[in-house]
Amino acid sequence: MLYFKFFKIHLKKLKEYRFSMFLSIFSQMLTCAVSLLTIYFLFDRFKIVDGWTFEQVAISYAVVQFCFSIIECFFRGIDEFPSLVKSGTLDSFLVRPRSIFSQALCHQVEFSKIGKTIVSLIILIYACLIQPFTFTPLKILVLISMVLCGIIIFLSLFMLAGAFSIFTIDGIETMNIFTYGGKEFCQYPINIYGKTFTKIFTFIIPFATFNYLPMMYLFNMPNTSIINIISPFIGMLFFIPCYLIFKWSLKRYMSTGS
Amino acid sequence: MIECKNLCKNFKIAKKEKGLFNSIKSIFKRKYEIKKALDNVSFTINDGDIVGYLGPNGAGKSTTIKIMCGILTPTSGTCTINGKIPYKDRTKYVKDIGVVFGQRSQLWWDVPVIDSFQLLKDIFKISNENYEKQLKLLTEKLDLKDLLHIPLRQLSLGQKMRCELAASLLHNPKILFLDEPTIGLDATSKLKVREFIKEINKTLGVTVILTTHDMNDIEALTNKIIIIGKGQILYNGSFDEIKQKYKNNKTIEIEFEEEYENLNIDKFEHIKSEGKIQTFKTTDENFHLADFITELSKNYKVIDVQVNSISLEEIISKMFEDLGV
Amino acid sequence: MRAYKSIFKLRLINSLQYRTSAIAGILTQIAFGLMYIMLFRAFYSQGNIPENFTLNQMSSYIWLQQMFFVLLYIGEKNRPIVSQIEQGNISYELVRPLNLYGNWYFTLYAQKLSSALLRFFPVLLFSILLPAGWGLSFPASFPALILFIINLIVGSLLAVAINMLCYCLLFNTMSSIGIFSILNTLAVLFNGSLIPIPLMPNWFQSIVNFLPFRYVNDLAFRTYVNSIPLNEALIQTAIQFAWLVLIILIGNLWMKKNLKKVEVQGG
Repeated sequence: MLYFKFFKIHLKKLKEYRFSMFLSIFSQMLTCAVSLLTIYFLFDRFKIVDGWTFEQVAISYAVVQFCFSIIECFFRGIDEFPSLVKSGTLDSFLVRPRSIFSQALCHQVEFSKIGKTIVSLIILIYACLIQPFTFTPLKILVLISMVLCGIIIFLSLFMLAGAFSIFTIDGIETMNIFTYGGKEFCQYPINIYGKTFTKIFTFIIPFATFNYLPMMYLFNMPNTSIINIISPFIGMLFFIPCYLIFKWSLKRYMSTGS
Repeated sequence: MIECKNLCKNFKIAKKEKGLFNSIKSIFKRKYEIKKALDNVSFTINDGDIVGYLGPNGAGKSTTIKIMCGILTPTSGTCTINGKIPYKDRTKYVKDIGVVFGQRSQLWWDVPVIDSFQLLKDIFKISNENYEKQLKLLTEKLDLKDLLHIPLRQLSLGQKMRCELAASLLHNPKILFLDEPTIGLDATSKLKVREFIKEINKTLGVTVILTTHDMNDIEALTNKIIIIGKGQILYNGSFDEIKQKYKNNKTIEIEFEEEYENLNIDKFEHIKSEGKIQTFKTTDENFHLADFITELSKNYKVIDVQVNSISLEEIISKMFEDLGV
Repeated sequence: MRAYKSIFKLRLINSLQYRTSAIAGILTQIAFGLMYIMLFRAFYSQGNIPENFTLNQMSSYIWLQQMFFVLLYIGEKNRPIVSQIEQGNISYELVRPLNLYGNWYFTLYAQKLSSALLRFFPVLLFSILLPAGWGLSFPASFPALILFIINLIVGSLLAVAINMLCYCLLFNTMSSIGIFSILNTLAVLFNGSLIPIPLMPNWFQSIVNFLPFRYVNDLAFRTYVNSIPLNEALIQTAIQFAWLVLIILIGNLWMKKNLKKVEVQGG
């Protein structure tokens, strides 16, 4: 697969800058751990929020950090798509016989972000172990599908941001509200933010599908149904409209230029 | 064969405001204007040609190249290249072309060149056999043997350009687009690049389309030039024809013993004066140097005379002048 | 002083060029402000609210944070300066008739101020229009407002002074990767940018009080919302001044030492 061929190239780059890479990885680990520490501080004072405990919130925190760092680390090109448009790298993509989406996915691997991936994975495993119940196979499956769903949803949002950047290059930071803002937002089960926001982030941007909906099933909350179990799979469908918009924006790029 | 018919391309451009007040105002309101980058451009390029595509900055050069590479769709008109429409079926079409943007690299900055080539092999799905064959050929012709295992960032500009050329030809394309291939290179590297372009044109039969500001490139390489200005084709034909047309344009530098004012010589246009040295221009077909000096010495004290043929650069800028660009 | 004035003017015009990025910054600040307030309100509904940090005080605190986010940000990387140091290319700077520390300090400060000025007003307007408990309340008293402004100015100067230490460190490490983000991570933890300091456990608050970071922003905000009584705030303002003087002093000495090394090696 093309991605792994690219990956080999990125690995070779890594060898060239070993020390600074180590420091970056450390800094990413620190950031990830510090955010969890502040969540711990809040629970230390307030004990519980909207029925969720610290152990439960640790799961949503770890899931969203893990998903996001996977994209930042392994699919950095899609995250940096706006700057590819700006620098004209997109033109070089266009004269190659591959789809732009796959080239963007392959374009860059940012190994320093692996610090975040590792720490969030550790937190995720630890959070699973400290729950007062054991995970059934189905629950593990739901957890895995949550992670996949999260990755796909953030990937879709970055794609939207990329599409947006083709129309206006300098307003692109607005999209960060949904990508980076979304990451912050989803650290907690999003129903704590009230009904309106829960609805927006269930039906418009389906953050809920890898967040509080399946979490309700994981933690045996009352009033759960089959929807809670399969919601991550429904959330993955978000990819389709985003991909279409991305394709359409490339058409537009080809008609307007940069 | 490349065939462009009535290509038009319009861009909408936001106006940039100057000054503190205006830039605050432009936060809320922006003005746009339509710019015609290409206005009814038509031309044909035959297989095996080396074509120079010339014009001042902003004339529409890179827009045309981008359309031919499949990066841009024209507003109207058609472009057909070997029976394919570049912007319609991009991924299939681009296997037929190689592109070098002089200012931008298609290779990976931090890794040895050979690894970039390997990756391009995978991107273009080149078979092992063809890859080995082409790599061997290119390594030999471009003298890359010692460069392949060095990271790109450690190479000089000239070495980089040689690698870029090789990279664009790995998949054995029929057409090669070169956007400013010699920009920033030193004299020896320029010569090497030119030699190579000529050679692959001859041996592989690659059609080459290049844009450049270096008239020596044009002189050394192309058999045909297309000149564009303000989005319109100004000239399309052989390079020799132009040379012929402006052949008689000569400048004559005369050093006098003393400074003269209001020098007037029949049929000559006075263009420059630097103390005792005066420069004239002529387009007279029957110009004869000996007669001219005899005539001149009658009235003035001449020390030295130097005749220069007009350079290609001047020819081009003269053409732009004549055509009102 | 004239040189510093033109550095500032250039910066302001420069940042105005990026009109949409200014708007995007404002929208981001508003979105994050709302999100944090919703989050903390969810926690507040559980009770156990600190006495000196009520719902109103909390929402005002968050909006002040958003309003002055850029002004009080610690750990920003100025690309031109960083690459000058990394490539050992500061001889140009040394021939200019300006003290290098002062020159960089003002460049960084001007950059901050110019982008902060653009962003602060719209966020202010938005937040005072929100109802109590969601938006920004008026300052507790007139003296509190005055002291707040003093704290804010000193705090922003302190932020740049702390940042300057990073540039000094850069002379030793010669690679900027990681350094700035580590500084930022520590700063936001210790200055209450992630969660307001009054919401932290007491043991952590006593650590935070020993470090300079909270004097960058937390002091000003708490003076404004009257979370710290005025007489106590006055004492803390003195501490704030002391930190500023100390850190600028350290930075200057450090820079001098670095430059000596550069002169020996030839920059």
